[in-house]
Amino acid sequence: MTARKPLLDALVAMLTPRDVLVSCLGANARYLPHMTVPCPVFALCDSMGAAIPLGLGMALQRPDRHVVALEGDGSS
Amino acid sequence: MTGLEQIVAGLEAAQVSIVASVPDTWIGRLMAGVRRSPRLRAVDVAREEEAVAVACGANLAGGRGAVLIQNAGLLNCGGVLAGLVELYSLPCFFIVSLRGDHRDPVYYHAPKGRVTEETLRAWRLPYARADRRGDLAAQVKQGVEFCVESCGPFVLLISGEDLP
Repeated sequence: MTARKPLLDALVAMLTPRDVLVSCLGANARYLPHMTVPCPVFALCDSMGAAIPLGLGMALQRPDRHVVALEGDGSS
Repeated sequence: MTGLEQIVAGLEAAQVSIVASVPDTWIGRLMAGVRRSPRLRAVDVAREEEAVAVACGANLAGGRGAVLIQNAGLLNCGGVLAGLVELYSLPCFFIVSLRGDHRDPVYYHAPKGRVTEETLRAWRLPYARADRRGDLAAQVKQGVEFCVESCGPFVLLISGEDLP
């Protein structure tokens, strides 16, 4: 099984200040506050399954920004 | 203007940008009006909780989102109301078709009609029944502005009679 942290590191390395990262609850949301992320982060601590529609609402409202939604396979 | 046109005009006047919906028969008629508006973007989702999150995302990104669903769908939304709208103090305006009250001709909606307002009160959701004798556009605009000012939800209950 692939460890989560290297995947998060790889994702964060691709982000720029023009991006927005929305994360689901759980382990992702617990890692992210301890990482240096170059863009705004909205890490949910509840609302299982909300990261993708929340990110969709942001992206539709701000098409000039690149919104990344990070969801867990148990949430979607 | 018809009731439908007034509600759409109210959403426009309140500067709502994104309208997320899981329609029923009544909300479907309203969404047809939303789709005709050049100022409103309709977003169709599969589950009502997703509609809430889409509207909240629009609000977080500086816009104004609204949720148009049936009361059956609102009854599904307890978790996302508590875990997203309430937890993060997000504005979220709802227009909800109140199926099953005395004006609804379809008998099988009655159980939902009996519990909707009691559920709203139990969840401490501010709400009002639309008054079609008054200015529906103003009621919609007032509801949206209440959400923005209170950083929370507001539910406007409508009937099929409001959408002639």
